Amino acid sequence: MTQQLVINSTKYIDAYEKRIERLNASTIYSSVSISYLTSLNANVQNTFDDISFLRNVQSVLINEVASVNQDFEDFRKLFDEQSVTPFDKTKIEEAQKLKLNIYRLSEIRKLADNWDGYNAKPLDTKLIDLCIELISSHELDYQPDIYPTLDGNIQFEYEPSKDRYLELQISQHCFTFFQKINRKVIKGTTTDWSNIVRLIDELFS
Amino acid sequence: MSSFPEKEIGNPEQLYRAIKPLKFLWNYKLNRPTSAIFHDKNGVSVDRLGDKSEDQLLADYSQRFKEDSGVLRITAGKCREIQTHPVPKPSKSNVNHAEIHDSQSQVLIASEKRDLLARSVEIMKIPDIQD
Repeated sequence: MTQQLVINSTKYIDAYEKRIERLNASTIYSSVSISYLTSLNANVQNTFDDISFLRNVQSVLINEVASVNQDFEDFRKLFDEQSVTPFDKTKIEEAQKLKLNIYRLSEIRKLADNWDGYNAKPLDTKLIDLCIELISSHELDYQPDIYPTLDGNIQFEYEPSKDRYLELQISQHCFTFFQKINRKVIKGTTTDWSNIVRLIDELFS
Repeated sequence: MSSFPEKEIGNPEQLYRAIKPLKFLWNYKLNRPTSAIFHDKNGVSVDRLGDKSEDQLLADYSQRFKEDSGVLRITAGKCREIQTHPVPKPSKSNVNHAEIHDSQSQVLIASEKRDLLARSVEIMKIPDIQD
């Protein structure tokens, strides 16, 4: 009798334990499901948030584009006032070259006696000042390559292509020029800088 | 011990000139000397070999100028072809010294001849110019 009771009791306990196990499994499953659903919900919320964010970005971008367009308009107007094309690369390059040339002339100003090892003379400060004035003149569209000569003068050189060359000797009183375009040579001396500017323009035309 | 070179400069004879590594003497874009180095109312100084070898002269230049100096060379015949006038001008310190003039009667070389000289010289060594 007792033995039967133990057996029944064991069966009951086994059954009870299995029920507990099933219940645990269900609980875990439910817990996982709830957590999955929660994360799904969060994702849905995130998606809504993302859409909202994208709408904000779009709005910001629209404002940015409007602002960039306005800047461009202002930029264009500014250049129109100065008769300069906005995308004229040459003008920008020449402005940069002007800066470099002014720096180069400041270095040439410092050259001491015998700077080339063959007894070259230092350059006259007034001549350097004149050269800065000439290369900064409004009418000059193209910057030269600048070299000191060994006897204390300054030489401007232009060579836009193999068969187009212009050389200028700058002195306090006059400009001596030598221009060669397709083997046609022109040379002479002038005191009028605008004559030189015409030669330079012709060289690049 | 160096001996005086021949009085006349023969057409095949080479004339040499060193170029200090200065950006004011060199045309970067065209990688050749500027014609401004031939603008000298006192005459353009050059060296003859005399009894030196070319290697000796180059070694002298490295010592006299700087190791990173450039070296140009042109024959007297080429100078005459472009109608300039090479003249021997030996001095106490340099018996091999010579000059290139415009002509027999004019020292300063005319612009078109200077341009031709700058294009005709042989570049033996490019100056190592550092900004």
